[in-house]
Amino acid sequence: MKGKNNIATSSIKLVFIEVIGDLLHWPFWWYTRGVKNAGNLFLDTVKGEYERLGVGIWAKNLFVPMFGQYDWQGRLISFFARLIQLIIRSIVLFFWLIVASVIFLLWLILPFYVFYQIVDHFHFLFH
Amino acid sequence: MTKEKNKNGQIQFLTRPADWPVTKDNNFRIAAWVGDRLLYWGKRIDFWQLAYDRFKLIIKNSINGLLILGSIFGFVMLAWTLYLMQKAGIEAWYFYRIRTVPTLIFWFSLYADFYLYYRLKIELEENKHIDKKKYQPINPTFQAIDWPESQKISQKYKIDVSLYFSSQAAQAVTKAWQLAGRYKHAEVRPVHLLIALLNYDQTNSVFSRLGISFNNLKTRLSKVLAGLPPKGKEVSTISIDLERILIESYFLSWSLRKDKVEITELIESLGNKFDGNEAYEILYDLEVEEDEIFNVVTWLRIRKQLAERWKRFRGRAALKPKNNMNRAMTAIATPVLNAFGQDLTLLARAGYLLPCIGREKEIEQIFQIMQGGTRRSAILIGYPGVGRQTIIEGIAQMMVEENVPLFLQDKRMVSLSISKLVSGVQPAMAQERLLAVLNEIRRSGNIILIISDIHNMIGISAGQKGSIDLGSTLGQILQDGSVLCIASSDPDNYRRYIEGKSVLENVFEPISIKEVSGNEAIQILEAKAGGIEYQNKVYFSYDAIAEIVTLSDRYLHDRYLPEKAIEIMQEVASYVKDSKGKDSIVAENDVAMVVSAKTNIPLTDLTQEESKTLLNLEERIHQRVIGQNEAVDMVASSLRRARAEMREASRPIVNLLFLGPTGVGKTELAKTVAEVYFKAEKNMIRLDMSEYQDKPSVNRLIGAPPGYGDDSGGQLTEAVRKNPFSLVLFDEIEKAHPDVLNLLLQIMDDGRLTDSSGRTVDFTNTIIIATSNAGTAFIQEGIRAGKSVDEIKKVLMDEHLQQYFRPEFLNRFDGIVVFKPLSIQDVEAIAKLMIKKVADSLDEKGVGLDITPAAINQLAKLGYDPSFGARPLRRVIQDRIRDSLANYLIAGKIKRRDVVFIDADLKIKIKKAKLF
Repeated sequence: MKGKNNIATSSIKLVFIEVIGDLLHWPFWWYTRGVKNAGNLFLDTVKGEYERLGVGIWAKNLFVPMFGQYDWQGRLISFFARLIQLIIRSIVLFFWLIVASVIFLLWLILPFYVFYQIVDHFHFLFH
Repeated sequence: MTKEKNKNGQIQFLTRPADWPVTKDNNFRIAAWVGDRLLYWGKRIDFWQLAYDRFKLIIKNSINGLLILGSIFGFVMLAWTLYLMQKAGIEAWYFYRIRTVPTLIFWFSLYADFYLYYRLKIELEENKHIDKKKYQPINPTFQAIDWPESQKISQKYKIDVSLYFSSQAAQAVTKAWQLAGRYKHAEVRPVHLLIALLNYDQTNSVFSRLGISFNNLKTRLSKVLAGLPPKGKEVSTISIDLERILIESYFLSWSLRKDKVEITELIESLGNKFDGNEAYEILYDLEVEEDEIFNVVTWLRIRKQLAERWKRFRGRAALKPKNNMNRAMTAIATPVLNAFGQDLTLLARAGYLLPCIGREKEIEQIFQIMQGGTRRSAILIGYPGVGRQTIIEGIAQMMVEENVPLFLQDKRMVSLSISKLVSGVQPAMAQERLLAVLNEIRRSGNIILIISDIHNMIGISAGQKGSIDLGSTLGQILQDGSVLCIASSDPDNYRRYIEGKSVLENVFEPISIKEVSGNEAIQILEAKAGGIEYQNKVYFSYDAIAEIVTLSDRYLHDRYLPEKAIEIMQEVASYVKDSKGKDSIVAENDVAMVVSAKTNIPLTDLTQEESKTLLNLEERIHQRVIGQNEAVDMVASSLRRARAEMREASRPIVNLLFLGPTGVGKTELAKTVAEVYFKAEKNMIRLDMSEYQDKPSVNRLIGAPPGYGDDSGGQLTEAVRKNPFSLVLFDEIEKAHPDVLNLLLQIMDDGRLTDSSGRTVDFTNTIIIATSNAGTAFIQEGIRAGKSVDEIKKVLMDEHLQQYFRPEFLNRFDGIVVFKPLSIQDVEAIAKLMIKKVADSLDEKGVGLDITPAAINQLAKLGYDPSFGARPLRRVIQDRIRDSLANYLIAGKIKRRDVVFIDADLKIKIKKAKLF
């Protein structure tokens, strides 16, 4: 029975070592792979919105007349129509860019800020 | 079915020699070498390992639980603080300046959230994924190694496959181990895994598709379990055979480029044949072959793929515009085109089009043509039903996903209907409409034009004969390449109307779309099965699907795969729903039933009644044919061979040559066979060869060549095409022209004949009987001289028949039967049969017939002629009996219920019925 007990205690030990190791690994992960993940999320959001809004398509066709109107009046009207479209769409895209960047920055800063808050709390409450 | 294994690449299994020392690192007994990696099963499964795993799981879950609780508590504190702040009249944004214990708890709880997020994320990430197999143009040469060499391999190249099992698959292995413990078996064997797998949905789905009955499986499993060696006090260990299966399942997942080993791979590996895999033996016993498991598991994979594809499609489709404008807004409104066409990309976007499977090669070819080259339009040439429309719809769906080459991106695909274009107007107006449509397409610049059956455009011309027609109008516009078009046509019409005859030939690059076959067809059906099953609430077994492909390929000749198989599939599904009810499984025999009903060919499993008929065929035939035992036996046994599928499937059921004088029953026997085997005498195609004595008569048999005469087809080929399950009787074959005999040579040898329009007609379900009077005089002389039939036959074959037929022709017959001249006793028996017919017709009028044996004897004597057989008998009965009866009936001398009495003098007497 002694051998079996050994295995039991050693497995309990193993599990706890894993738990501690995990806790220590967390900050490291947060600023390496975690940052990469957050960056990817940022890129995916911006790319998806860029695609959905068709900003690239509007920009590329800025000088192409809309609705096949190849006369000069058509071209002129098209250009301005497209320009307005492009501006509005870019603004919307910019908004999304801000949102995505805020999320990304929060990922970087928030742990430190929480740390600051906690320290400050201790300072204020227990001094 | 040929096996099309996904396993490209090789695997070599190595087992540890008995004397090889066990070290801590290398304690496995079996490993697999795959050329650059050594695979082994490294997971120990025993009680302590399981306890350890469970303990770890409990700890993990409790940590996560605590974190969640902490996080909730933190948010409650936050809410509480905000509430107090609002009460005190402090703005909410001032929150970050508050310093209280609840806020401190909240800030701490944020760390709990972060940590929880990290834990969940890392669990997903740390989940090991199988290294993706590299795409290599040529498989590297495989070098086998032995055990000592394998031990020298560095740890980097050794893969512990147990790390790559999905949680379900790992659980199944654990369950197998627990089972072995429960049954007190020394080793965990494949059979334990098989039982463990029965708990999973995927297994049930595979096994029910395979048509395995669970009761049968159970009895076999318990037998095998009873035979396994029991264990002592020690713990059950995983057997080498099971380890091998586990390693194989990893190899399979790797070959399929999957992330994990899943239940489906375990099932497939369990079906692998090798010594020591009793699971394979059990399945084989249940009539499940290695191949079948593979195909069914592939089926599951296809379903999963379709579901994933659909998910991706929905996501991408949201970006495609809902109207006829492109995203760049350069297109114009196309009212005329919209009136005469249908927007396929819109249909695809809305999800109305069915998925297109296994046509990547053709689609790639279309893209290549349209991308460059001088002719940028393509024409798909294939027979109806091979999938031309499906390919076009497949491209439409790819366009919705924008998963296409650049020139097709942000474009619409519109199918133009020729019938709408020409309906209700003069050709001149139709031409105007076409030009308007083309003009819109050209100006809009975002439209790919689709024209199905483009040959219908040829010949619709506005002016005099020879003026420009719709096809040429289109051709001229397409020539400058400003409009891209995909058209379709079938080979016959393409050849007839376009090739070398129309300007369209110069603008379209032909792509021939071939009929699919074998596994490809099965996979297409498997993909279609889901929808049909859902509609009809029935389930297809794998065998049923394979049978649909085989039978439709073999027996439905005028149409093409996969369409004809899909149609059969639909029919079978609704037939099974009606006959067996909802939620039943479609079996092989149901398919055979439906195809049988369509073709009149018996394909189902033999019923008891039918097998009785077949075993007593001789008796049944003799009810109509008197004597000629040798001929009857030969025919009967060949019919039995055919029905039991013991014949060569590539030839007619049987080819027979009947030789003998006229009136001995040659034609009668043929008719009887048609009635007995083909169910009705009318299923006999009778061709009198005296009508085919000259060379041009070949054309009458197989149809005149195109352009000569009508296209009604040949008399022989059309008849067999319409009724492929019938008896073909060539009467008086010796009179036919030698060229006609050459045609017969091919029929008898290959079981098929190509008619003048290029269609292949199948003769493999026919019985070919040729009759001949050749050598009659010799047969009669021989019989008179008392020679045996065998002797006569020998001399006939060697000397007399050579004058009429070439030896290779005679050799093609499965049997040459010499019909003996009839004896007076035979004629008497025939007279009896004939008189019975007279009695039958009298019976219809309510009149009885009483004829004495002496009278029949007298008729036989009068009707017997050694050189004409039984033929005069018919005349005698007609003259002496039927004629007088007719006179009596017309004169009203015979009434209902009277009985006609005939004695040896053949005079008619009437026994009047009793009057009431």
